[in-house]
Amino acid sequence: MERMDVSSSICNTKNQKFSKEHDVGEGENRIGNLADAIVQHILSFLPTKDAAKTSILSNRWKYLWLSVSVLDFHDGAYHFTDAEEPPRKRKLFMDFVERVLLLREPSTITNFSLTCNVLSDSSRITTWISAAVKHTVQVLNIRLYKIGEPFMLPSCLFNCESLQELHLNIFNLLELPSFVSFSNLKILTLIRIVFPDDHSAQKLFKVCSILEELYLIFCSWENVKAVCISSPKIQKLYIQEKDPSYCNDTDDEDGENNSVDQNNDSDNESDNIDDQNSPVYLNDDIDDVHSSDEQSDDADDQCDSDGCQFAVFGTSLKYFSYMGDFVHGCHIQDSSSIVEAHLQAYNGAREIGYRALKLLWGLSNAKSLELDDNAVESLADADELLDHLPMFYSLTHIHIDWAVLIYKEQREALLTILRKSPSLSSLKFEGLSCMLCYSGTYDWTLDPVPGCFLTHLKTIEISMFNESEIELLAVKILLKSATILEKMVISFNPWQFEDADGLKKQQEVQEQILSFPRGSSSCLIAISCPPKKKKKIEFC
Amino acid sequence: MASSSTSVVVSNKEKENKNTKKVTLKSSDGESFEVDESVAMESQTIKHIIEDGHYSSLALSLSVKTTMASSSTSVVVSNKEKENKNTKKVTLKSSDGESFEVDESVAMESQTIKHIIEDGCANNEIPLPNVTSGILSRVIEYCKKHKEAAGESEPSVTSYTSNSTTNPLTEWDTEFVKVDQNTLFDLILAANYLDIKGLLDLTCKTVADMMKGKTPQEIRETFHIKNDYTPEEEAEVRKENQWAFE
Repeated sequence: MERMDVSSSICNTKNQKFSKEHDVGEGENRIGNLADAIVQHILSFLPTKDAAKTSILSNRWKYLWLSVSVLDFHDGAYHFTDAEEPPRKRKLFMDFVERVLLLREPSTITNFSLTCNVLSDSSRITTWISAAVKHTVQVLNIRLYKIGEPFMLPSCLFNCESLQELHLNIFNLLELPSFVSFSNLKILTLIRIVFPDDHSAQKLFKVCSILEELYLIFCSWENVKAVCISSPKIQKLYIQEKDPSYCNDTDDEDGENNSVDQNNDSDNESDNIDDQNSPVYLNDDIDDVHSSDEQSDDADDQCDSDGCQFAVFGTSLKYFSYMGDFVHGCHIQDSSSIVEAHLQAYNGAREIGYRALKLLWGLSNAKSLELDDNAVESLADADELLDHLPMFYSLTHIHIDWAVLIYKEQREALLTILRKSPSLSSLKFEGLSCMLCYSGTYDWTLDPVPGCFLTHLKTIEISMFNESEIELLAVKILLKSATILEKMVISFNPWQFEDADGLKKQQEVQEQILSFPRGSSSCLIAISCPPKKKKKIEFC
Repeated sequence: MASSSTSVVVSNKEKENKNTKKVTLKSSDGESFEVDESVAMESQTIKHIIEDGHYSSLALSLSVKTTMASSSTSVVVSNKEKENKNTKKVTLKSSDGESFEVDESVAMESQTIKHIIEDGCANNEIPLPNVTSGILSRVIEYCKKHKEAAGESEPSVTSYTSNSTTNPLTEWDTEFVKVDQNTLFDLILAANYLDIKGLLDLTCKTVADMMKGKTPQEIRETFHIKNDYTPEEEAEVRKENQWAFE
């Protein structure tokens, strides 16, 4: 982005001397006085469709939008259903994209995003991608659906030196040309990609010499036995398995926006992980090689032999996240650099527990660990292994996403993890119980008390708190046992208390909690009720 | 830096672009360290060498190995920086004559000001004839806040799951741009002139957000843009970009 030169800015800012007292109501066309480059910078924050609408504002705006260096095309069509796009609309979209690419100033394209159905327009779409590459694109975001004929990404994409971020969301075989080079690539996201063999997967990761973030989501690894990720700068690794039991073709109805209520929300990556709840298999997209996996309701189809072994080398890995049934093995050379590790399972089952344990061994030096309820359930099902969990000497923070306390095995599993974390200083429960009606007895004891409760545990945070007896009991026990606790922060589940006497109930619960005996003399308790907030993921 | 046996050559290079003189120090095992001359002169030994002008061919006895040299250099550099931290302020003067004294590091959030300082042209005050005091004080507020946040020892964790609601600076930024349109455009111009990328992006994005979801006529009204198309011209433009208008 160029700076305006001083002389023109002085000229344009003659009016600015009065700006302190300037009356907005006077209706000065301030935006009209801005230099083209600045107006284009403003337009670069809009999807290209909205930027195009400015062509009609006045003569000055007619072609301004065309040469913005950020292009973002979204066809607005249905991608996940069999519903056909109206051919007229399709033609208009295709013509629009081409018009932009042809008529714009031959300046660089810094960001290029394309979301559309391929149908039988492979070669046109491939050409568009090539155009972006030729214009030294830095951030490329391609999401393609409904591939109706053989489709191959252009080979120039795979040695684009200007590329810093590449996001590919295509259910297609990844065919690499013979020469591949991504020497400036920092962030790589691959969604629904099908890897043909070890060799191409390895080749791809190898040439990303300065890669910092790698996201592998819903990819097909059946043909890959093992792959090594050894970029010296790799900081984030996110792996999400295909969810075999989940087949959804009603999401993304309007193609533009979709609200998904997510407890674990990767807000940073929301644009790329829009498929998190909507795996994307359409009958006409199935590649012969992988037909056995499609829309399988049986999680057991993915047995260990299908898993790919990932070897992660390097000492700069900070964030590791795995969501799935831990089918793939992850061997991390040095987990002491890991600041946060997240494990989320699709199901709670014994064999998953075994695999989770293997993963946990590789994460034993992490500083923070987050587990969801399925992961804990899986470990609980494999309770014979719990004693063989590693010691987490560096672990200072544990976050449990929905702790289901009513089941003894799961309580035991949680306690074992706590006992294996001698340095734990902070504990967070996002939700203490899924079931509010419990007719069993409350004969829990914390015996023996995990060591960290007596030596390191300073903060306990509980969110989505309801007023159930179980949760109150858990809070009571925690308060009593954590003898050096400094802070307990409780936030209510706003939906639980939204009725008329919600406030009154809150008060009662509050008083009750504050009256519990505290094992730590310096413990402060903070109780609040956050506003209701539905987390949205925008599907672009 | 101690002195004894082996020889070291100190060479002086003048950079063409920058006025900051650099010297290259070579340790006993052959590694070279390029440092600002002012930094190197923290060493009295080197200072004398340079002042005496004998640097081009002098062999200085140093037995300092690479690691020692680099750590000494870094200590020297950091001492110099500390010195700067305690004393360095700059004065910025707005177009309507008001002066603002700010930490140099905060002022350097502006690339324009940074270049002025680095070129050695910032004697007493830096005049900014294109920025009024009202806008300048806001710009300084922005730079201060962002400099503080960047300097925090615990980098704000960009983790996968944002367990906290938002990045604290995002909320601050949102409040910061809740201003009237004129101020907003003044901020854009100032951010452009002073070359402060974060502020320029923030303000431009705010304007873009004001356009989102509005019909062209609504946009015209919001920004007081006069429609100078004839009806035929307007229809033609609509047809050319038909997909965008559907």
